[in-house]
Amino acid sequence: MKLTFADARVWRYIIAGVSKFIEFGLMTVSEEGLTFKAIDPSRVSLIEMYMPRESFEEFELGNEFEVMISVEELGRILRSSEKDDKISLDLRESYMTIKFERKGVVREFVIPLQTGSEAESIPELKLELNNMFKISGLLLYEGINSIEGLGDVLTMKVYDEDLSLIVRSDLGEAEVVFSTSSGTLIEGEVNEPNVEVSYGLEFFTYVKPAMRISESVSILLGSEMPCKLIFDLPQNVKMNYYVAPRVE
Amino acid sequence: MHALNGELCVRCRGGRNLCGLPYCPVIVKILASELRIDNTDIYGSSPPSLFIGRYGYPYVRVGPAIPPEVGDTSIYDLPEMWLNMSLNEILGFRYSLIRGTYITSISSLNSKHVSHLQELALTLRPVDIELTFEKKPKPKIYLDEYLPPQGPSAPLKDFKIVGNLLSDKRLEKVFYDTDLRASKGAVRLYNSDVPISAIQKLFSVGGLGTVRSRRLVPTRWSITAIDSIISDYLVSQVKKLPIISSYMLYVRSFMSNLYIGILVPRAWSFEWIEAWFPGSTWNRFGVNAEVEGDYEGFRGRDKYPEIGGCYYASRLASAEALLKMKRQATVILWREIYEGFDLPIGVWFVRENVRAMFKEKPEVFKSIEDLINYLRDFKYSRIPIDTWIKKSYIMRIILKQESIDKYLS
Repeated sequence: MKLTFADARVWRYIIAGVSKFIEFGLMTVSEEGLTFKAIDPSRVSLIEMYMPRESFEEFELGNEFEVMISVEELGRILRSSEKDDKISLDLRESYMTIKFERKGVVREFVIPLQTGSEAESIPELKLELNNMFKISGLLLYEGINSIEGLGDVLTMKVYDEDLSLIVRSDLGEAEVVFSTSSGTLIEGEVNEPNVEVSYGLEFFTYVKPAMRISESVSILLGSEMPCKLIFDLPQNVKMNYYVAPRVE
Repeated sequence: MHALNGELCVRCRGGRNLCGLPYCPVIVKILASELRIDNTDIYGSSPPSLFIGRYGYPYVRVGPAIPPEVGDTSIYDLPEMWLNMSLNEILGFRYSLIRGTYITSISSLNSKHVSHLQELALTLRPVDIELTFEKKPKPKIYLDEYLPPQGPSAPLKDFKIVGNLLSDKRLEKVFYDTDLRASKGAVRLYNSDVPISAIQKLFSVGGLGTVRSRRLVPTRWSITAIDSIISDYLVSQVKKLPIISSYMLYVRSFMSNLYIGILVPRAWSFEWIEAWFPGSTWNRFGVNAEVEGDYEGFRGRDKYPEIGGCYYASRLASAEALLKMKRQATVILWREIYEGFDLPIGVWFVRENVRAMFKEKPEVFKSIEDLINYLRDFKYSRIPIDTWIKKSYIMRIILKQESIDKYLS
């Protein structure tokens, strides 16, 4: 089985953050495309990445494949990828070959795989989240960046049509407001107003590299519920990221 | 010191610790009474050992220390090697170190005596020294929470390095680099396997830092400063590593102290809490165990921890352990100090014990609830787990976090 993806940067940015807090993830390749799912070891967040068949330059599938891959190992390899690199995956029984190609020069890496019974299946997450805010990925990245130094807990607050990100600590309080009126929200849909939910801030800092290259990120919120972030990444790649709330 | 039970002492004879103390009060009393020194001149091999006081800052009492014996005394001032020794042995050789001191300004780095002290701080081998005192040293011992126990002292008249002094190349290189910041110098020495205690000595004699920033630093402050600088560096490395994949519990029971270390699969944060039982060093007259601690989140602290220098000593040992595992984690450390442990002997005791604890094999758990249930039945801890949780900010943060499992179909 061989898959070629035109822009290794997308992989690099996603895995750079994810490899900091997730050790292993489940990769599935089927006729529809490639999916990657993982839960972090503290079991607070869940990540689902979906790359449709059309996003690949080359998609040669023999049998359907389901393997556990070491995200740490993958992250280490992807750190060597550069701008304009193409990435190819060649999946075999017990190992995966990763190839980077740029201007005719090929670099090849091999990592072992865990297959069969060791693969942890991750059930579906079905949530009813009534509020949705769509923000530019870069703006969200900058928003998180500007307040993360102040504390460990991120509170998301829904006003009429606005979304506030708040960090409170002994040092004080920092708030970033996104609204449609100021143009900082691409879209806002509030069906359940006055929602205030808190999350561990660290879980948002891990996905900052992915925010940076996303065209947009949709934040879905509900009272006392996990939040769901939908990343619209280049080349039709989608990433769903769920973070369980804190009970304050 | 404890009131002694004669019958127990006869049965124990200083060898079995039947009174429950981690040292023998009879032996320590004898050691202290043997400190009488009738000369004003002493010749001996300094481990090397030196002391910079803090009272009167910026005019402080400084000087070298030597035992009245010649030979390999290096262990007398090397806390990294003391953990497997009995407290009697440690107190014995520490009390034999006689200090000669004089008062100087923290910025007088070019005086003859301070230059000699700097020479001492540049070597890791014992150096033969001749001390001439103005009067006979007082047979007094000095105990401090931060410093290893100190022996008698007297005002110094003269101080001569008699033997050959072989400087350590690693220490020398950093000492003569007066463009190198103190923090970078300390980290460079640590990465070259120089013992923490030697880095602390060099820092205290103004041997680290850019030329303008160099000054004498009281020993007590330099111990914490170096623990803080090196642990800051180690933590910055730990923060780049992947997170552990399970909950881990480490336990160490040693000399009337119990250490509990919990590693949580979360980003770096750190907490150090101590429970001092009635009859222990800092709770001699209390009725209940006094529990105090401090913590930091991923971004670190902006204030000095109220709990003191042991916070940084344990932070250094924790970060070292994580780097060795090549993993990141939230670290929660709890220490119970029982009655009988009533001598302050220095923060080295915490640093070396936490280092030793993390070398043991941990109990591994899938969830924080499993770990807490295990601790609830844990027969060695005398503080109930619910009391620990109540006092532990980081543990409460973790327990307030819901799991994503609750929402999976």
